[in-house]
Amino acid sequence: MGEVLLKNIRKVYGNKEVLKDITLKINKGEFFTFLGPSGCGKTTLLRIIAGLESHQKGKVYLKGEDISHLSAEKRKVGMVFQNYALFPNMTVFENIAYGLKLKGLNKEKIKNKVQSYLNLVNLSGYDNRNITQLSGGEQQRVALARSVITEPEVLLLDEPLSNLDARLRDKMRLEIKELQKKLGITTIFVTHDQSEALSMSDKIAIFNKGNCMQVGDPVDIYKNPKNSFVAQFVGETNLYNVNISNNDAIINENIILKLKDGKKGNHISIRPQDIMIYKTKKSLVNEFKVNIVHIQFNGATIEYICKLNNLEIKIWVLNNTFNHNAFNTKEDVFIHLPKESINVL
Amino acid sequence: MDRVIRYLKNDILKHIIYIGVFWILIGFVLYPAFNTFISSLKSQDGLTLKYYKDFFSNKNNITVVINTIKLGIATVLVCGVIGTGLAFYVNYFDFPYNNIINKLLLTPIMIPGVIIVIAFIQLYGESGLITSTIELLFNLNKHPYDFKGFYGILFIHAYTQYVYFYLNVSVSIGYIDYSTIEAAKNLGASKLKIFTSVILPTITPALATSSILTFMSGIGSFSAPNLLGHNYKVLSTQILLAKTNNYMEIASVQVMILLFTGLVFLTLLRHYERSTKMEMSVKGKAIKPVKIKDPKKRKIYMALAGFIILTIILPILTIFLLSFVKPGTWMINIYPKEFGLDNYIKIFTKSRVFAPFKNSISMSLWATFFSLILGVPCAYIINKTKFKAKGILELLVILPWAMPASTIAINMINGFNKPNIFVGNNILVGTYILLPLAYFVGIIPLMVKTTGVSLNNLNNTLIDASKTLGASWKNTFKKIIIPIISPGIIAGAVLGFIRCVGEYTTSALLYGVANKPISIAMVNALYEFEIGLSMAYGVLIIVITSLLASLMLKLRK
Ligand SMILES: Nc1ncnc2c1ncn2[C@@H]1O[C@H](COP(=O)(O)OP(=O)(O)O)[C@@H](O)[C@H]1O
Ligand SMILES: [Mg+2]
Repeated sequence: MGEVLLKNIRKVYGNKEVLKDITLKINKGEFFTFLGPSGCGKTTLLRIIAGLESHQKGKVYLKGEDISHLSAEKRKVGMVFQNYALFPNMTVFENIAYGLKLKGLNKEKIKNKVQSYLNLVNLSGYDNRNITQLSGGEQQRVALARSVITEPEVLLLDEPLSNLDARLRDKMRLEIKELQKKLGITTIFVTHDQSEALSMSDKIAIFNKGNCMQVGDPVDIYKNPKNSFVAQFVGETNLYNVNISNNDAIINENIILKLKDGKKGNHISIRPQDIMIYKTKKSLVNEFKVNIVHIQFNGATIEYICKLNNLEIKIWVLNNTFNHNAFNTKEDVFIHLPKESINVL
Repeated sequence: MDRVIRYLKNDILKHIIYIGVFWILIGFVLYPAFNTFISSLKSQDGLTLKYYKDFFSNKNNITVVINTIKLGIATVLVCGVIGTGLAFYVNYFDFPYNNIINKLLLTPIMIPGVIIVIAFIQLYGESGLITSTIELLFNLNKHPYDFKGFYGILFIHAYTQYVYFYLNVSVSIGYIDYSTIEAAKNLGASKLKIFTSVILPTITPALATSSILTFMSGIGSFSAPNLLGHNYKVLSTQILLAKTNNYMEIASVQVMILLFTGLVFLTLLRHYERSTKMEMSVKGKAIKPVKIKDPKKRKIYMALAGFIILTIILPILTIFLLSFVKPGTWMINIYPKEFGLDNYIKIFTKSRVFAPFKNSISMSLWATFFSLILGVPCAYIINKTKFKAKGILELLVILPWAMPASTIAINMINGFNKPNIFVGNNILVGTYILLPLAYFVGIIPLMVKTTGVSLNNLNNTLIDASKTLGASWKNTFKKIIIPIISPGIIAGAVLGFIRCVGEYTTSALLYGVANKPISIAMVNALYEFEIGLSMAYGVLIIVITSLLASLMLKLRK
């Protein structure tokens, strides 16, 4: 297993700059996620790492060695494609054995190894199935087994869960993560789904329009987004344009929020679950009287949309016995925005 | 550096292939057709419309043109009614024999037309088995019907060409959304209203497409008009006449008129086809075949089924039966009496009699081989690349489809009766290879189409996946690309071979002593009253084509 280093990668299609200047380090054994909206260049970057796409500038290093000039078949990079790309002319066994056969292993060894990998992805007994006879989840597992059986240095996964239904997706999240842990393989996972990224990754890189906006572990990215794009894209948040002077953030020229010392920026972000909501005035810092305009019941949480003058504020409250049915629409209530929960961007 | 060399290598190969396919298509399709065009205009004093004027100033010629168009339209109408009727009969009603009937109904396309024509003459001709039987049964001293001329040809067209309508309409019946019929019923629509408002719009595109195919084969048909047309003359038979008398400019004029007629109809219907093409809605409920419960109706249905099976099987049975008639024993009797293997023994022991069989096999193999060499790269370029001149390539590839077989033959003569740069300044007229080349031109569209379908099954990510698993380009090609696309290529090759092996029209116009094909030998044997031998040739072709067809179906699975 090896670490991957991307240095100043630039990719242009025609006159469209798809990747601008990407430099990233993916450590050995890490589960690293490229997260970003559709069309931001994730697949392209993945294909550049795999050697399936050329690039105009920059270098790809694997285990410290420059592999930019190597063709795909020589890179020791395993890949799972968005549509799985299973060979329709082969059985499950033959699909998984394909890479081993190319390596020239003997029949006995191939057979044993394929069996153990079939076991690993919970597909023992499926050897002779045609791939058309498999469900989406099963195809996914075959694709996984096929890509890791050759023991590549890195495993690349391009939106592997996007073709599955919601329930199966949750299950496969777990399975992929477990497989990755068992094998300890350096993994790059591509997704546009922030909850997938947050729940699976050791580290996340956020992409937007061919730029890498922020790299960090899930908690860090969620807690301390570097800019308004990241704040909005990862998790939900209340994001406002502000003018800051003397540690006061002024919104719409009439709402003043006290900030922690020395923060500078044009935006503030505060997560809906960080805002407190209550009936009677407590005279705290950053306490406001607001009107509830809409209540949405989400099962485990309740969402309140409140208005402070013309400003909309979203608040989440845990739906437990204490909070249940606590407030009504049109009711005037108080909210408190703790200084330490306000991110200045 | 490594990369640069590889890039150059790939690029050079690519350009060689591009140049190669255009060279072949222009050399064998466009340039010969262009020569026919020139030949129809060229006289001592430059290019004139003289031959056209001459042609149209003769009333007989006008009759020929009208006959051709009339035959085309009548063929479309008759085949439309029969094919559509059969499609509904098989797909709309629920009966245990539907599957068998469906398979049987498809057999006429697998049998070369000339064999069917000869079988029909043996059945319904002046001294045909059915004709004589009717005379015997009813004690007639006159023929009960006259199986020749316009109606004779039309009868054979009905038998051989309903298949286009049958196939296409069957497919489109599958698209009828049963829930819309239910909805219409719910709203109180009458049966007629349901047919015109729900069913007809769904099958209209199929009708338009089938009309094009049937019209083209109707106006280009040659074996039926040639063998039993008598006084009913059409362009394709007149082309043979002009060519035989060495009036190439007249033949060229006739070819141009035939081509023009086809193209006009093609454009008209294409236009109509486009305007009616409706978006297939999300597939709703599939239509379910209707069970017939009324015993009387059941009986009618069964009788109809029996009749269809008999009509289709009878000519084929006749061919097999008559192939065993001992030579020279069936002259005066109504029914043949002496049977044996003599005809087959003759074919396989006398090299003169065996030669046509051998010629047809080898020429069809050549044609298939050429079509593979051209068709696979063409299909690849059209379906898998962003090549700029792709549209032109596509047009060149489907061009032979608009050319009736007699047209292709005349084009080949006009293109290769003088030194031709596309074949190294050689003259090909009079050589063995000209006929297989004409076969080849005729099957180009088929080959490109079938190969294209299978290439589209080859998703690019499969190639990427193979690479990331460590496969070299060679291995990917051998283990992924070839296995996935080969069933389609084999199907194309088999269908192409089947089309060539019994081909009659181009053969009649282009064969020589060195390459007399089996279809010509069949017709000659018929004229020499060696009916048994003629039919034995026919059986050999049918056996070969059906073996190949079943092999192809096996491979598909
Ligand atoms: N072969 C190509 N030719 C031209 N543009 C492309 C090609 N492939 C991708 N693109 C463009 O590059 C951008 C990034 O694509 P992609 O990497 O697939 O995005 P993502 O995987 O993040 O959704 C998109 O705007 C896309 O339209
Ligand atoms: Mg993508």
